Amino acid sequence: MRKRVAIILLLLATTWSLGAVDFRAVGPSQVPVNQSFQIQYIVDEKCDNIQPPSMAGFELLAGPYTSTASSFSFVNGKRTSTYQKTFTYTYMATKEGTYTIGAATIEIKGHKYRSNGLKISVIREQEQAPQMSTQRQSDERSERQGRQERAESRQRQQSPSIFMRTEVSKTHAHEQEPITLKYKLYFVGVNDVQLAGVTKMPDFDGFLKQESDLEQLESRVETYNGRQYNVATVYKNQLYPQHSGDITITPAHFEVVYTSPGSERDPFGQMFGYQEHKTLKAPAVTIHVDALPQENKPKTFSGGVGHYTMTPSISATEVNANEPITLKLDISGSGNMKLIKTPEVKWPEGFEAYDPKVSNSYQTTDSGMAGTKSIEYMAIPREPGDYTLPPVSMTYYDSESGSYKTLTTPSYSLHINRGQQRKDTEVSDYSQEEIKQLATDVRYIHTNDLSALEPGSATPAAIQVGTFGWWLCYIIPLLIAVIVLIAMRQYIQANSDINQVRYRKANKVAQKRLRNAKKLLDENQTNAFYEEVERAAMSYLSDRLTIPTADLNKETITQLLEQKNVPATLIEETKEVLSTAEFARYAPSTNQDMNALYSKTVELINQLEEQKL
Amino acid sequence: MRQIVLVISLLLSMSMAAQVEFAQANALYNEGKYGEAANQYEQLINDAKAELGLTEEYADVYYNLGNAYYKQGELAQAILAYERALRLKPRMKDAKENLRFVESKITDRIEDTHSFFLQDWLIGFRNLFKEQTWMWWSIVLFSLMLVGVLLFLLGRESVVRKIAFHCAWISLLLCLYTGINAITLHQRDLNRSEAVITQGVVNAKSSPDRSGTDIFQLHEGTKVRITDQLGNWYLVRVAQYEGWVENILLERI
Repeated sequence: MRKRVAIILLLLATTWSLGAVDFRAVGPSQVPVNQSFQIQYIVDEKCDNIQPPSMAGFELLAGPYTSTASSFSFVNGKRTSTYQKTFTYTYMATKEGTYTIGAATIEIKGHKYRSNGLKISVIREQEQAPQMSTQRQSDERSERQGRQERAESRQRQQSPSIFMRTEVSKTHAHEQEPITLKYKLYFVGVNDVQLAGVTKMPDFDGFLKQESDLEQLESRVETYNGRQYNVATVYKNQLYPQHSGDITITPAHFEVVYTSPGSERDPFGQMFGYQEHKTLKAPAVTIHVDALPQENKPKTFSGGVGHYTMTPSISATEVNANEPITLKLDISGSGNMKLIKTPEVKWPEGFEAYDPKVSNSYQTTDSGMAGTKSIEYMAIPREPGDYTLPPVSMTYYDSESGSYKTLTTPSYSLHINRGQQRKDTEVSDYSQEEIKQLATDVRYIHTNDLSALEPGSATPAAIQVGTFGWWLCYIIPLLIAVIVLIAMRQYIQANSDINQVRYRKANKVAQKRLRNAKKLLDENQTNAFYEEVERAAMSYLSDRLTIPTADLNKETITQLLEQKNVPATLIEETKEVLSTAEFARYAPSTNQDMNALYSKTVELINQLEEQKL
Repeated sequence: MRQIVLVISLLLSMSMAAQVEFAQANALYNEGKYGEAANQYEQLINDAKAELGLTEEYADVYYNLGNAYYKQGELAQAILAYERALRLKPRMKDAKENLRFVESKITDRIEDTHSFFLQDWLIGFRNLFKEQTWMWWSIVLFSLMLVGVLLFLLGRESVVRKIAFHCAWISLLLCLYTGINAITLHQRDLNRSEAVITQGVVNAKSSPDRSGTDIFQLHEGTKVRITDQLGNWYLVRVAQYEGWVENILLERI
């Protein structure tokens, strides 16, 4: 049993040893003169005796350092293991040129293995990447001086140093002008530097902050105060000053973890290093912010600072009513793009305007945000007609020329056509239900004969308000009325004059006649006396009651007296006097009768006078 | 004699032509060719204006024209046509009904808060009759008043005089009322002081100038009263608002 296992193991061992030994050399293809670089030989078997190739033109600075790494894993009960041993040599090139480095050899269990070869081109220091130090110019120096300095530099590099710096793109800026701020970690002579966290970050009061995506945390070599450091940018943002004056950004605190190589006296420290925690402070920085010039500041200032162009485009200038029109403004350039206020578009009255749609496509660069901001304004005209869309203006502060600049669109004339009138709905419904109104419409046209359209049948009226004829219509009746009035007045006047006189003189006349009668009575002229008495009474009544002589008789007199509300006894008396006087003329009578009639008549007239007929 | 016969026959032929045109326009309307029908009606009216003047019967033509415009969605023109129909025939029921209907479709709803209901009623009553009718009534009532005055002055019997007196003053008041109505209507038709906004949206300005401040906004179909004129600008009044509007933006009734 044991023999069998041994055989298997042996077999396995041979198979490994036979084909699977991986031995390779890893190194840079390009190195600058006087710079240390490393070549590593990696082998996946246990071994010790490596023979490096000859390195003509290179100076061995250190090495070989060996490190081993092994891992075991069980997958589905199967054990697999990997093993890696690395030999590290540090060299320094002394001369420019292209070198071919031969293979290294290694012996494992009696077998010799060869690594791959390497080709290294050594270049001048000036040609190296810009982040590398350009300070030293060894060409001008003697070899010896160079060596001395190199030795110093090595020594200096070996003294560990780690700190933070605050870097701003400018310390003097205008309001809204973008400033890039970076926190950079400088370190040298320490390994495994890690950013453990941010303890304290300034609140950037007075700025609008736009954080930038940080590229992979990679370190670059930079020279600071004549010394080379590995530098890593740990934080980057863009700041837009919001007010003028000196604005101070308070310090930031970062916590880092790194391994320091330890002191040289401590052999263990040299070997393992110490892991250290340290809080680093990035110093405060003050930015002097200038206000934007207030004079000549246009009303349309949008808050934009930088450099921009504007490209307007309109979807259509002639549409039907209720069809939308879109005005698009493309503002491109660089600056504080995000803070540009959307320019106001004054759509004509009768347009239903919608909120503008803003789409941004810009990237954060060191000069601010660069790209395009597209603003789409949509409006729907509701009424047909011709309208003018006034120009749209956007003013920004050009930080290059230091002045305000206004971008303006042209003014568009819009023609809105009348849209299609919607058709009247026709609905038919067969089920029996209450009548319901489906729609309202105008009443139907009149299709009658218009027989009266025949001319002459209805001529326009001759008499109209304001014409002479119209005035005549008022004046003629007025004249007629005035004439009638005057005529009637005169007639009445004439009539009333006679009657008035007769009325006034009635009593006088009666008294005169009565005196005459008295004389006749004294003379005993009977007939004449009666006649005189009758006439006195009759004429008195005639005058007082205004009765024409033709109508004078007892009946009329009685009637009028009744109308005038004369007492019945008096009327009776009047009648008696009248009839007595009438009849006595034709019959013989005594003196006594005549005296009685006389006094009766006098009495009657007096009484009637009292009645004030 | 021969001339008279000639004139009569000419007039008859013209009227016949008008009849035929009217029937044609109605037929076009029935076919749904509202635009053509409207043109035909307009033609008919223009001919009448040029030759004999518009008679009451042209109210029907205006009414049909209003319908044709409404069917095309030209609300302002429809309102104008109905208003003109009502000028010729104030009590034309269909025209009133359609005018009310079309006015309910326009954007502006004018509510004159300053007008008293009695005033509205008086105006409504005034518009029931034509200027001529009011005028004749006024003349008749004037004559009646004169008779009353005469009777009062010359009457013997006190009863007659009393009745005559009351008749006279009532007649005088009514004569004044009808006369004022007649004159008002006459002035309205003479000055054509009423107009309808024909443009979609119109801004009334503070001054007769395009750069004037916009005071208020009017929409198509709104009826306004013209109170003054300066060049191409009308000072219009709607409810309690007053502002200047360019003459191309409205049309007088």
